[in-house]
Amino acid sequence: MNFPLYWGIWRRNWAKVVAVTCGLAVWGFLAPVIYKSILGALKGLPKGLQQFGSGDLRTFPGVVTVMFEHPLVVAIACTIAVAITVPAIAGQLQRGTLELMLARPIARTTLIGTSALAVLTMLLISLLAMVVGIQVGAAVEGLNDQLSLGSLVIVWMNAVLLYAAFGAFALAASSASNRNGPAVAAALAFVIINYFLEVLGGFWDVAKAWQPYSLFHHFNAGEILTGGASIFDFWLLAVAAAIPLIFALYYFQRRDLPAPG
Amino acid sequence: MRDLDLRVQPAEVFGFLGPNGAGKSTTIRTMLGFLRPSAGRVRILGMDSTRDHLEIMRHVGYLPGDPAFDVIATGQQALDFLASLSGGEPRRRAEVCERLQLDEATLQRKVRDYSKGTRQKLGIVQALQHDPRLVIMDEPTEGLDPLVQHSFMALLGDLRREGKTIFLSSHILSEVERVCDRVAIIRKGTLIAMEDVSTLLAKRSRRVELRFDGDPPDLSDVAGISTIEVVGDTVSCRLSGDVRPLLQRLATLPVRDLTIEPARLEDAFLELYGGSET
Repeated sequence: MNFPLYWGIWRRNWAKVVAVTCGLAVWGFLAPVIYKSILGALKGLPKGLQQFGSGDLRTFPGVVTVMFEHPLVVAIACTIAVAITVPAIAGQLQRGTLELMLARPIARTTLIGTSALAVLTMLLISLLAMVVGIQVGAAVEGLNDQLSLGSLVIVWMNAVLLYAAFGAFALAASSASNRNGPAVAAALAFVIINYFLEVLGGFWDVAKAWQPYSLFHHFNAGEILTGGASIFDFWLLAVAAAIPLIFALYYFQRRDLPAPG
Repeated sequence: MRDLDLRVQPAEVFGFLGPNGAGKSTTIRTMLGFLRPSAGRVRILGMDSTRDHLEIMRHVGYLPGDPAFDVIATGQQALDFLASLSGGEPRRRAEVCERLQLDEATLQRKVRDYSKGTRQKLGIVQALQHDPRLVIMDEPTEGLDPLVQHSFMALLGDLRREGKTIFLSSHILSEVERVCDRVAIIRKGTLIAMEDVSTLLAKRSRRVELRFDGDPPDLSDVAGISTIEVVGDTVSCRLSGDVRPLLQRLATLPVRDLTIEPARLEDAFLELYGGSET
């Protein structure tokens, strides 16, 4: 960990993080508001439409689950996990700023570790904003009794681990690439394939068997909020984050860094 | 690169020459650990470049061929950031900025608004601001106007007098000739010459032009004289080695004018390069 480097990453990305954090806070705040205002309509939905992901739309925890698993949240969280992580290495290598940094007494492993830590902090903060938004909205709408704060914190940790795994994959792609584009493409492809596997299993019984191979399958807000957290999901996501991070630390230390451009 | 054996002495300005694609930047990038040599080793300031990389980097200032900075940062922020990564105080920044005419107002502007020359100045400042013992520069005067080039060369001279070691690559031979103590010339990754600049120049032939009152005499028997051309009362020739035999001969002749052009590094470079092609 190198503090000047850490703050350098924050300085370059603070606007993105503030935008994402505000967006997720508002999104979280809307969960109880939407639930309260369309509760009657939700209860009248046909049975097949009452479930979205692991969330039951007829209950407040179910709506909160939907808000966490919504494609919009996936896209916003991936803005941090991918769009900040990849430029930290491959983007800087391509622009030529990396060589001025590495011509200082900074180990390459420190660069990778510090980038990972900075992105992890950003994910923690932005997803926490969503949790805070939900809590504030629930207080405003008088729904606090329907949602356990402890469960919500566990959902937050589960979400952080999920996006940290995608961030770690993006970091591995970035550390192995000389250019931003291919690394972003690889990281986005990984997210999309995981999302596709999870969503496909929800619609098509044959594809259900593939769902466990998706990292999204191990983000189970619905189960956690109804008291059924699985420690296996946390371990799996932690391992899924650790493997690409270890690869990045190992590979980036040993690779040649070509001239930019 | 093959069989590249360079030794740079402390407190010297060492020029590393070669045309584009000869391997100058690759050599520098290998020295700094960006590229891993498949064989051989690099020692910098007496330390192993791989094992003691971080310690070496505390004492090195590096200017890449085309320095790039975070474009949304101001020049000041970019310098502060890089100084904080170096871990030392940027005690030389003010002096270098002043000598390169990089004023405070410019440093407060975003780097994206900088011209190539101003970006180059910023690159030089970041390489020198922490007062490194060894300065490695790849094409340092690229983009600088002649006045700033002059100030930069004077700055290099002062650094050498302070005992700093400077390793610079360039294809602008006049600047190398002016500032370097020794030069190495590479071609396709192979060293073809490494000598003191003065020794290298002393070996080269110089162009001589003589004007006489009346018909020019025959100078072909003078030691070191070659390629004689006579046009009217003017003799042009090339002189290698000692000038005294020519001067002794001219003392007895009706010479109206004499011009001996100094040997240029450019001639030496072209001669060595031409020789190595064949």
